[in-house]
Amino acid sequence: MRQNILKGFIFFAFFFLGKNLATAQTDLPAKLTWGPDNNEPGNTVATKVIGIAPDGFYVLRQKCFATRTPSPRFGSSSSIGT
Amino acid sequence: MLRNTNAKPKVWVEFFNRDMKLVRSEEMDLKYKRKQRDFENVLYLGGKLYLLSSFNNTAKKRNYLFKQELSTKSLVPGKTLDMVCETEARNKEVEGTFAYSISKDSSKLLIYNELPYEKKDPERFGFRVFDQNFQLAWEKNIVLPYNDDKFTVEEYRVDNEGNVFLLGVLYEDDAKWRRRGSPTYKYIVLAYMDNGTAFEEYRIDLADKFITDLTFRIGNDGKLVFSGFYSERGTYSVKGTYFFHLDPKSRAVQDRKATEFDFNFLTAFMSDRNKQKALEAVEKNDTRKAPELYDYSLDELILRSDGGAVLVAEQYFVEQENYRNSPYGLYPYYSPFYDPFYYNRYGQTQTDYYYHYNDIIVVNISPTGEIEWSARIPKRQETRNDGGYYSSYAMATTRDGFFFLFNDDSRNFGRDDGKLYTYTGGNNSVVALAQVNIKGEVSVAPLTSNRDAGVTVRPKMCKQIGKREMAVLGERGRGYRFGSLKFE
Repeated sequence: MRQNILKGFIFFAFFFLGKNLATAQTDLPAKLTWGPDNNEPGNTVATKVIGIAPDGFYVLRQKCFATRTPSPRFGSSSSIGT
Repeated sequence: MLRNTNAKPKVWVEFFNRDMKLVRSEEMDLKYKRKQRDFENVLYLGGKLYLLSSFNNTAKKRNYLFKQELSTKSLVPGKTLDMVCETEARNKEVEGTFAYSISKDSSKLLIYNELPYEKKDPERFGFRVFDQNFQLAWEKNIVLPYNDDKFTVEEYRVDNEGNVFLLGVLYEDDAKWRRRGSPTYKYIVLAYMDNGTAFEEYRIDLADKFITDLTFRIGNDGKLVFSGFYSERGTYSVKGTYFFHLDPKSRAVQDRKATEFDFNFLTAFMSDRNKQKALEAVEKNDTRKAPELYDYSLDELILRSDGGAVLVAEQYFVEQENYRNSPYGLYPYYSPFYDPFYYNRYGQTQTDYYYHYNDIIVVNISPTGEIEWSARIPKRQETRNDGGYYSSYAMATTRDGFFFLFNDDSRNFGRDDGKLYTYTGGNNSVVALAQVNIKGEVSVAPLTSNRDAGVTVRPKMCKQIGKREMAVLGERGRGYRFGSLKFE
């Protein structure tokens, strides 16, 4: 029983920590507000903000032919001591 | 990363409103009389949108550049296809390409193109300057007194009056960069003024020091502000900054100054042992071992209203790693399982490219060329075979300082273990926001988690769209959205 309570506490602690990270904007002098989701035409990528108009901005999108998924180095250590 | 230039080009223009909502997306039709044109660019000039495309006539060995005005509302190209210019081009893949620069007030457009050359022939290129209605103001084909293989053009800009300035590098001999430890190249500024009727050339060097990077901007007063980095060792490292003003009217070079970075700045993230070695090298005046910064790429030169400038650079390099195929799997050359003879048996190799985007440095330079402060934002990003698609940073300039947005490893926040973790594109990445205030003080904090945002932010495509606002692009699979980042 006590173990279950402990597990539940750890779960909620992680849950709220994660949420706090996502909304940790209160200390920052900036606020990010997302617009609605869009679906891009297949194999295309936004390549440039063409220009900024008073009521919005123009974006250039082009067909692409290369990978864009980042992948880490095989077997590398991911920290550098300073 | 866009590759395969032979594939049929497909291009869309999209318009987003201030609520970050996609209002319209329109595919550009690049066919004309059953022939396919090549896409060149879309420009926003004088409040109008223009689609630029080109066609290579292989029989005539000429390349033609066309413009079409796009409706700013419907984004549909107009039916009139105007030829803007034509140039010699024996092969469209290597010659006859066009490059563009728009003046600070968007009233002038420079179209620049290199002209074909024979080996050891003089360097040749063409300029065309247009006004904000895309009407030709002046044009000129230039033949320089330098051989093509001895001169490279680095940067070109047009000012609000239509004067053209070009920055290039002239190599004095075949050694290209150095001979007996001294530089064998000079930066050259070419100025074409008064509709191309007046010409001036300026040679820039720093005696025995290497100018490792140099860029320029055109100030509101018409003066050119140059700044960059120099080294005492070679062309890949940075010891300090180089700064000067050039007045094209009086032809005077003013406030020329090379200033060394502070020792603490150069050794900021070194271990105690390496810092001690660096200190000993400085005390012995050992140039070879004295501390310098490596592989910094100069990205921005922001002009201050008082004639000073702010330099922004990022450490960037690409590592190449070769693997050979063996029945036991792929192993890098340093692995104990690596077998060099398997190459002959199987004949297969694999090459991986690792893209590193590390610390950002910000240097504030006074109007007289002194370094007022320099700041360093710690950052490690390493990804494989993707061109650093989600790496690097986006920058915004406000009255209170500078903001930098980049993807980072979440372990760099909320810990105090003295380690700097590398962003590798994994699920535990966060979007970090660094602020450098007007005193040069740096603070970094997580803005949002990429997982919770449901997208991964692509900093190279984020752009400041207002005095205190940045458009932030996030992507996940085929889904994408823009966000508005407002600085309070």
